[in-house]
Amino acid sequence: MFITLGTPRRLSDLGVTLPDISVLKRWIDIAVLDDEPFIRTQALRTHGFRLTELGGDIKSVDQVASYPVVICDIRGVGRAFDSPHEGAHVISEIRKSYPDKFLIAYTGYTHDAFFSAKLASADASATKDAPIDYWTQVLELGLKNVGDPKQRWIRLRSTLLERGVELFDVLELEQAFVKSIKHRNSGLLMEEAKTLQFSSEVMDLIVKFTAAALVGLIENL
Amino acid sequence: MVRYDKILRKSAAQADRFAELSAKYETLQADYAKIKRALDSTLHEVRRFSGELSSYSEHLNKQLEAQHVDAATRELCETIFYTSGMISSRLAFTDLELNPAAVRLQVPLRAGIYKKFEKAGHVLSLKARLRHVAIQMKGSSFMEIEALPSFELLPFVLLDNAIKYSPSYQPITVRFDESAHGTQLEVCITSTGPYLDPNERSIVLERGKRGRNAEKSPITGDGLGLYLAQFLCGYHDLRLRIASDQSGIYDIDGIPYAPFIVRLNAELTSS
Repeated sequence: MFITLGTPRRLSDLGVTLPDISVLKRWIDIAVLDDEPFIRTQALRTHGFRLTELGGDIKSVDQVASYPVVICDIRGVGRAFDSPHEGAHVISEIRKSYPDKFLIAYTGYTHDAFFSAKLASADASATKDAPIDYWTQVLELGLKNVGDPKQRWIRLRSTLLERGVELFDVLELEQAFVKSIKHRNSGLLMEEAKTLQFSSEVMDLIVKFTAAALVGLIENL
Repeated sequence: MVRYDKILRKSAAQADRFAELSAKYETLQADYAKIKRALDSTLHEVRRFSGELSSYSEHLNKQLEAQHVDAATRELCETIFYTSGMISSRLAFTDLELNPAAVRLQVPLRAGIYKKFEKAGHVLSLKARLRHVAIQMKGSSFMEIEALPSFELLPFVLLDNAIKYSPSYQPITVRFDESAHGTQLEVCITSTGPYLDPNERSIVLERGKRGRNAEKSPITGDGLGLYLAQFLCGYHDLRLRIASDQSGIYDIDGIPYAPFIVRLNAELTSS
């Protein structure tokens, strides 16, 4: 038996207007993972971005949970992960747990095809000497992406489908997500997730999305 | 009758040849690894220094804004700042050449073509003055395109080439003709340089190639400028045409010179 009543809520029904970039700059935190001091920190803070340097010694991807945008150096970062791909590996691990984040690979090796092949999980890249104009543009793009609930949901939705979640279950979750935003209640998504039979891995994704993304979006939009 | 001795001799010779080629292959592999290591670490370090240089010169320029310094010092500082940006653009170009896949992760920037030429003219103004060559910008344009970080190099190499090959006291004109709705733009750079034969036009756009008369002249070059320009035009959907004006040929020290015209066409497509 297959009965659904009512009209499905559409993502376009979210009714959220994306705030100005100046507003996004004020509430979205940006993490920098680099084993050396990040040369653009001061200039980017002067431009209004909220940057936090976390160093290169990251031991768990959950350390960046509260940062919707992450800048990650490729060399000398995440040695604890014991991968020859260092920062590129960290980026792909962050992507697995937090598909909705905007990840920027920061590297001096953009000429090397080996590294760019490993950077499939990144959204953008910047070189060590990228001019400040480039950095501001990349970060603004990142803020617009993560400041938009629709974009963030679509990123999570794609990952859920890639991991084999049934289309109908994804639709149910999407309904709960739209409802969460409209009623400004992050608990609605979790309640719906609990009624569906998900693996612990999928459940973990939804829990992290709720805690790290949905709560922040509801508070600030 | 089968000549086994002959076959064995041939087989031994082939084995020797194979061993020789294997040894050569291993040497080449080792050389490649050594060169790659050197290239990787050099580019990495140069990028770091380039980033620091542009950051420090940006600070310096900001500090000078608040102080009373003479115009020449201010101009020099701005030139240092812009030149450091050119190092970055040049390295970004190397990325494109060595690893075109890197473009996927680069975020295109809105770039005003007129402004980029103005900036290149600024960077090169000192060099032009030393060579007694004046760059004149005529017309205007507000056209902006989506450009990769290496795009800055395009106006720079075109003007740098024009200055380099120009005899002293000759003008360089950069004329901007934009269509009424701002959807089409032609930038025409007119300078004087060693005469380029029509059948050499496509050759000088290849890497390391220069025109016959440029080679005969005392001006040294690696044949990179127009190659870079053509490469960047390809990435940004621009059209580049070059030609010497046959009607204006004259001799300088036995080398034919003529007005050299570079035309750059951009068209905005509705998407």
